[in-house]
Amino acid sequence: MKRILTAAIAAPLMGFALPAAAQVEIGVVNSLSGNFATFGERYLTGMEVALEEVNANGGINGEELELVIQDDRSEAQSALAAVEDLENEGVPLIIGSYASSITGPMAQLMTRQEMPLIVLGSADNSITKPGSDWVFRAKHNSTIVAGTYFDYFDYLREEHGEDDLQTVAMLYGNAAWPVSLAETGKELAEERGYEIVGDEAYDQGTSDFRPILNNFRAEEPDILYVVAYAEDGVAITRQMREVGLDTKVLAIDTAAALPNFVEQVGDSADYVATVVSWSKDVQYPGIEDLTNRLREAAGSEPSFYEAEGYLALMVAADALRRADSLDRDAVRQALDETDLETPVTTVAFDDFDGFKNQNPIRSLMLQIQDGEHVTVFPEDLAAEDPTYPNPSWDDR
Amino acid sequence: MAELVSLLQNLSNGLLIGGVYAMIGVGLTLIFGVMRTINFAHGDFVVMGMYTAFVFNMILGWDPYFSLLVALPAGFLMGVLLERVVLAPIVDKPHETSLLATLGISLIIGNALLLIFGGESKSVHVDYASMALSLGEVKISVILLIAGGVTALVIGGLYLLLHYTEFGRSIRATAENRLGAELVGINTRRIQGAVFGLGMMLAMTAGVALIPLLFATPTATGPILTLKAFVVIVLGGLGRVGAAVAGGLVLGMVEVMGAAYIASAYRDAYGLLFFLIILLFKPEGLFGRSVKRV
Amino acid sequence: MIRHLIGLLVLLVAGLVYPWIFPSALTVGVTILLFAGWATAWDILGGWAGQVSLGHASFVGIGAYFVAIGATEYALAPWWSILMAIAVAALLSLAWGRLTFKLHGPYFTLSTIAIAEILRLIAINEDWLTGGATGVFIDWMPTPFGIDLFAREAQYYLALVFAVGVMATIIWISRSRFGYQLRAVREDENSAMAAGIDPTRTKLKAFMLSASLTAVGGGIYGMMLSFLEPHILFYLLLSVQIALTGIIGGRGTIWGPLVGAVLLVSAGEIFRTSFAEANLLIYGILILLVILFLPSGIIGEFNRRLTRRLYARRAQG
Repeated sequence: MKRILTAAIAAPLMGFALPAAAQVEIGVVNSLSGNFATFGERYLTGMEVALEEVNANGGINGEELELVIQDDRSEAQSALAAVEDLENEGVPLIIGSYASSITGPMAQLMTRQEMPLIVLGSADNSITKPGSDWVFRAKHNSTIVAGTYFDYFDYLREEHGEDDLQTVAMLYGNAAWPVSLAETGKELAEERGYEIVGDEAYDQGTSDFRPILNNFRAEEPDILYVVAYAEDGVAITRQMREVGLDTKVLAIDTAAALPNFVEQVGDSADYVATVVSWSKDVQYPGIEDLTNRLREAAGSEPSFYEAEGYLALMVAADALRRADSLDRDAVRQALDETDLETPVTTVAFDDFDGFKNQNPIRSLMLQIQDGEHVTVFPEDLAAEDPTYPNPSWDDR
Repeated sequence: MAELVSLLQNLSNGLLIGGVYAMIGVGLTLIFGVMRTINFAHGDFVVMGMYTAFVFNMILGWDPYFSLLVALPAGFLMGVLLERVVLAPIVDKPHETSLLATLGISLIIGNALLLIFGGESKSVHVDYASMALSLGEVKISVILLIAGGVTALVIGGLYLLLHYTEFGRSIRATAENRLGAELVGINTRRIQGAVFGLGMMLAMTAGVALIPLLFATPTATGPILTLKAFVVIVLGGLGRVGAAVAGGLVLGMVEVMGAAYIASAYRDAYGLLFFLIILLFKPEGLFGRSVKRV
Repeated sequence: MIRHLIGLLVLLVAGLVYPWIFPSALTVGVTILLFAGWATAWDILGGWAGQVSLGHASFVGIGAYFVAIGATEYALAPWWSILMAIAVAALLSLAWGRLTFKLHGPYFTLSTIAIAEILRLIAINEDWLTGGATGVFIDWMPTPFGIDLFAREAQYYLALVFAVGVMATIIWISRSRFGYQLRAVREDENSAMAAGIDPTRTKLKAFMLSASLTAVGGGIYGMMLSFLEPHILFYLLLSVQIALTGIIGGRGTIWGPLVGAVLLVSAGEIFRTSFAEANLLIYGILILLVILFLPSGIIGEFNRRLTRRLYARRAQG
């Protein structure tokens, strides 16, 4: 009944039949069906690439690594049932899941059961703030991402003069991540002297943003700060052009980071800025090789989702290697001491600003230039300079 | 002055969005009017139309509207088949039985699409996606205008079908009074099949017409559209094609005005609130004649 | 009557034995019991009074949110907050019913969707009330008699008490005057009125009872999740799942909703662990098959055939 997905390739590489090799199993709770399956697919691809790499390099101290993958049907109680099931199987740690409404209950349960959880996709602050001893997140959170946006705006101010960027309008969906990112953004805007001239939320599934964008047009914001999932971001960009809402900076979180954003928006995608945890042109060693492997496994241009899946499993494998035992406490200890460099980012779990076991990851600012996602900030990791300000729609 | 411009802008957008809603609702008004079935799969039928357009665009490079050639007959046949296999056997059961059956169909369509196409949202990018006509300072979206044109064509055609053909008269008779229709020799069972086919065909047409504008995700888009369609048909009044247009326009107007002048976070609530008010105080719909069985 | 009480006893014993047989499937156990309770409570209105609601997730949300906000903001023990949730659910359903009970059939059903969706938007947008879209963590629970209410075992027994309690209520209703009134109203409101029954009052009582019981289950659900986001609790799909469970099992029967919950939740769990991506597709096919071949629900169809056979035997004998 249990479907154990085995993507291990270590044995065939040895060239002869091995005696039933000892295995190390890791639990994965991922959204493979239901509304979050889009993301689940991509995370799975990333994890499979990491699994191949781990096993090609000797597995976990000579033992083959295996993933025990369970679907959470994009709902919380199935994820909790999956955790219980995996705990029964005796896995030393679990990686999961995407939505915060699923990952939050998982984090609560696993903290109670004293079992390490490596967060796969959820970026909501609440998962690691206040957090617990057992929950680890290598990817970013709302504070880090909003911080990166405003660091970038500050950087543009420095380069081009304070008077240039004064006002910001915010537009975001009413799901957990967009709201949390918008709220953090509002705090930062006040702290750093930006005036908020527009603040509108919309219900998920809205496809007509014209009334909001028309209202914004009257306010003439310098920056439009949008947090939207895939199709909402596409619709917003198309309709901005249609209503003629010009801003000096257009930042669209999440939606604009996906490769097919450019396909669906066409040349209106240019100049859009977006924060990601990983980009294929970032100046980390090994990046090209990883990008190629992810591309091959995904069958399309890889995104930060695949990279985050890869990252989560690499972190798990690294900890298991150092733990020297499958005892949960030993694994937790090892995770705590993580000091890992991957082509995605560097990982160490710190406690800071009220966060616990959060990797203080350096997020990247991408800008779409001539239909390509290009890293433009922070300066030392950038591949190109940002283009500023965005030209008016009429001049394109 | 600026406020007047923005009011005019919002009014015209409300009308155009209303055209989109009318398009989504018109198939359902037929199905609900004749069969009194809460068809939970209606939005998924629309999504199937979107995927049809997407597939032919991707593989053969067709303009999305060209795939109507496939969507129209396929929609009708699938509708007739679904009615025959799933709904006809439970026609005498309480209404929630057919509601659940359509819910099952909705789950099956959504998840089959997920398995075939993956979860990523699909749309067809056309060059005129962001174009707008300027009337003074008011901008009219070209893509909404086209959608409105298609809506007018489809609804006009349906009106002619219902009012000037024998088949159409039988449908209307069945909707008004099933027993009476049977007494005058109309095979209402066959009419129900044809109506469901017609409804699915209209839904798929809507999907094809709206793909440059909306996005298809396998499991999430369908229910959202289904809900909109129900609001549209209750607002307008049941079983009459013109009423779907009226309902769509009212919904578009209420939503756009609410989002522009109150708070966009409650956009859907304005439509639903209006829907409740109509349901409670004028159950025949804003523009419907009085209906005996409400 | 005796038959049903024996059934209740069997449920209780099975419920007590379950944790010994499936010690590592307690979450599934809680889910089955909650859905059994919810669907039975739903059936008081949907089956016995014949008013199909697709808005019951609102009451689940109210129960869960009272427990969460009560515990985190006011250090209120869940039994007090569940009592408050019951009161609020009853009042809400009273107003809701007064507003919409003049609608019939599919129109009533559509109105429940509309009201529940409006409540969902309020729960998401009004963060002073619910904590808003970013959700609420339950970080504290009292420990009555040293019982840790965060423990799945404790939640399991609470859910068992809830399910058995709701079943007992429905058994009592089936024999009471109220039960006959409900059935009379369902069959024909005009005749019921002629017999001296006030249909609106009867339906209101059914709705209030149904809503209050649902909120109790919602409170237990909140404890199980211990992290709540409004869009998964006030979710149309949850309303639909509750109604689906009741109808698949058999509306207006005593044991139908329970059977529906056992079947749907365990099938869902088996499909989830064995079919991965395709599991919801197969779930949809299962629903369709049950409806096509057992249109009155599992227990409904069973009763129908049983009655038919009994009559046939009597006629022959």
